[in-house]
Amino acid sequence: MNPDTRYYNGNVGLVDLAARSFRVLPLDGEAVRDRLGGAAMNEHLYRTFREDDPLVLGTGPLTGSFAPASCLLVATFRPPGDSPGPVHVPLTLRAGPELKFSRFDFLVFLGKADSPTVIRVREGSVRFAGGGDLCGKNLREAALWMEKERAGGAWILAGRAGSRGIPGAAAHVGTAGSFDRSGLALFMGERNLEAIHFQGTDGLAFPPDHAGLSQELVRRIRSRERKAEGFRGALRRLGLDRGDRHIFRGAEEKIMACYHCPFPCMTHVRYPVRRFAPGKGKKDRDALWLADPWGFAALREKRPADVLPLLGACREFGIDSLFAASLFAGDETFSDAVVKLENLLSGEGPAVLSQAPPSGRGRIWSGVLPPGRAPGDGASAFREEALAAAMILGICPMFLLVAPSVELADLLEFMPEKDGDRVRDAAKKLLATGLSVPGSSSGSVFPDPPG
Amino acid sequence: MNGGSEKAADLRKSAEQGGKPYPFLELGDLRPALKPRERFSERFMPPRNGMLVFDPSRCTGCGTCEMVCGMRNVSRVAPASASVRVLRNGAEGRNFAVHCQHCRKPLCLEACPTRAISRGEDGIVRIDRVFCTGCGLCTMACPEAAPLRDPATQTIRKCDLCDGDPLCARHCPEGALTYTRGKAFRWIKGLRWTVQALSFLLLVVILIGTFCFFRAGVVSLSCPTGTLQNIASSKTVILSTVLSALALVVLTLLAGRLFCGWICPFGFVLDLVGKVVPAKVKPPRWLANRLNKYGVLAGAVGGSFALGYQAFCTVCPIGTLCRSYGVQGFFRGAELAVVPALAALEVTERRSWCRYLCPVGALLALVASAGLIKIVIGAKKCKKFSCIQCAEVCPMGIIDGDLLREGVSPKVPMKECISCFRCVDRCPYGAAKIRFRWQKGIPGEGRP
Repeated sequence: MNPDTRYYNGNVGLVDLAARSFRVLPLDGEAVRDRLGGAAMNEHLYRTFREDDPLVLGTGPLTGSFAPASCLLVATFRPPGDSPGPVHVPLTLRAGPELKFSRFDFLVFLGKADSPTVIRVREGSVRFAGGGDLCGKNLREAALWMEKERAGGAWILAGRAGSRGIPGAAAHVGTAGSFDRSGLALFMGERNLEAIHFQGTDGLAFPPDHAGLSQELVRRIRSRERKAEGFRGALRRLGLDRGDRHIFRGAEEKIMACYHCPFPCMTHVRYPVRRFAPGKGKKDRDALWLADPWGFAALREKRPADVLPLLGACREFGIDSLFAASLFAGDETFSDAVVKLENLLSGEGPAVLSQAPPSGRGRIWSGVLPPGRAPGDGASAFREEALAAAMILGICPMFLLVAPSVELADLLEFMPEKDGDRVRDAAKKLLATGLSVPGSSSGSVFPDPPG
Repeated sequence: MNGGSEKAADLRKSAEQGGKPYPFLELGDLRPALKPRERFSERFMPPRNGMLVFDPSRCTGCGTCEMVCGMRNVSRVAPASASVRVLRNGAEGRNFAVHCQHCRKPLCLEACPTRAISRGEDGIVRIDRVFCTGCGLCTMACPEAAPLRDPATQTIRKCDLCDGDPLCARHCPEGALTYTRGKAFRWIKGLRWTVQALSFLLLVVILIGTFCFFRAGVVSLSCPTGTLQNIASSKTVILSTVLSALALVVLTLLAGRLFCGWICPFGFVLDLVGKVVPAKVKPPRWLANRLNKYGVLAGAVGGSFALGYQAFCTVCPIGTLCRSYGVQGFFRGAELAVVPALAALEVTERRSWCRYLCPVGALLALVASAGLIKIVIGAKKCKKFSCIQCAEVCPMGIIDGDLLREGVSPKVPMKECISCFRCVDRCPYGAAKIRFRWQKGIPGEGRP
């Protein structure tokens, strides 16, 4: 066994969408030794298949392991339009482990499918299925479809806006949204890739003593700082809390976590809809996953009274909430605001708007921080090296934001001792490439981050 | 030693003693007996075996339980091979951990055609992998589908509580899965029997007087139903009698029908009879109506008004018990027959008299419906599929076990509840609680 690929299955799936075929390539041990995995390895694979303009989905060495928040799957691609280089989108929940436990470490998608397609990855094979049923569907309908499929595992959905090529589209991981602010949904829609489904039925032999190590680390972190309290706790920790108690009045909140995350930063909220939907009863409620603090904060600045239902509408249509916030003047009625979103979907939105790719280091972590915002800005001071390392190792970068006392050294305890320097080198290299790619700030629809 | 092993040992012993050599050893001789032996003491108090308790309100769906369980099962991080599975409903925002409940009477055990499943002395239900053919009948039989199929190997995996130290509970970061020896109080039962026995001794054997009217110095107590009949028959209201009847009314307002569950001497007799006589006869439809007792109450008061004497008191089982079997009048003629005749109703249902006919209970029920306390049972906090001990032990049959099985918290009607607190005492999960009337929220479900 190659010691460099010990935390991997050793398989790279090469999926040709045009030919509806796939083949399995062995994972290049030498490349893994230099780049370890995650965003760095994705970039390597992207450059290998650059001529085909690929979409690379990749895991890190710690993805699926006992390291806390080891849920990360990194999507690397060149956004549609005149983007100068590839961008990385962190996909959380259970996407990374499900891919890894389906016996693939990386998936490279080439070409364009003739018709809407759903890709299903399971037990080391890739299956092509028709995606016509999902095409143009709102999230609620897509959720029903997924439930009907009874597939379990993790889904990445292009969403309604993505499959229609609407600017501001954001991909979904399951029903929870994502940090896609770089056009992954548009890319998938352009390739007729409606959804990708991973179902991990296998496992990987991580060292058994890591379970105890993880328990010890969690205990250590919790002794240093308070336990996270879901989405509202994350807002507070990121300095985005503006006394939002009135927004959540009457709502039922349920804290949710990604794979093996001891610091949950998401909340599933069920809020009363009577105020926004005339004719609805006292007990009628709508449900929504809150996972993107920046999008929430931007929308709240514009529309504090109806931020939850508008976020719900954005999620339904597959539109990035940060992008949607820039559409609103702030003084329109709730129904007018929803009409603006619907107009955007029907192609009647303002023509001047276009989704600009993130520039500089923003391209490394996409929507975990809004583009243009350097890591370390604002109330949540954190180490950019640790963030880049997380994108390489397969650790959720949001975990590092909400638990700032977590050091890179804490994560490196789960890697072999000699790999510490290699991880740091790879992170520095990734940061350097992030800086070297010129970004276009003109035409950006992303507002300045609040706070 | 189980039955199968005993047979194998007998055969071996017989061969050693020069008997017939091993004639034939079937697989069934090696496997455990189909029905686990139940100790006599278990009928009264199930042993305190360890159990996993899942609290869905705490579960974030992180899947750490699946990871560590998979690691134990197949020495890899393989959530799909775990014996616990977290069902995640993203749209509804609900998580539910499916794990073996180690039922007292496991359906999987009875469904297994090769008898690969057995329940150990420690209460843990295990699968013997040598005999398991992976047919999946156990999964179908289990109400929670807890024996899980490993998609990688197509074998059945089932929680064995890690032989008493479950890793999932140890590693759960939110404490949603906890390993407990049970949260049953178990002292209420002893206290209640003691109080019942003392009350019986005081009211029936020792004290001069009856439950109907009792005076000790300036303190006087009287039966409220008797007092009502007294007022109806004499057409006069005596304030001191009304005040003496109020004591029981106040007690009922404060603590529900505590009298029925803890003090009533006839209730004590019924509980004793219920311990001996199995309730196997279906009660006739005309009897099995809880409104009957209000009719009896109305009839008692109306009859007293019409006849001019306390009509029902002559056949009241509480009164006759005190009068006929007490020191003041041992074995008084026909009254002797009242207690055994009504106690015989126990062959139909527990406390049939109290449920359907007792006018004292009817009056107290009216008061208890405005009482201060209530009993709440949180279905989400208990292992509803296989336990429902609360429904089984309730002598008044007011806890809906079917609702519990569906995961819905049943509402306990306090006017029918005799405040015996058997459910609270027995629930191993702390899901049955006594609350004040105005307190909202149900265990495991939080505040509404």
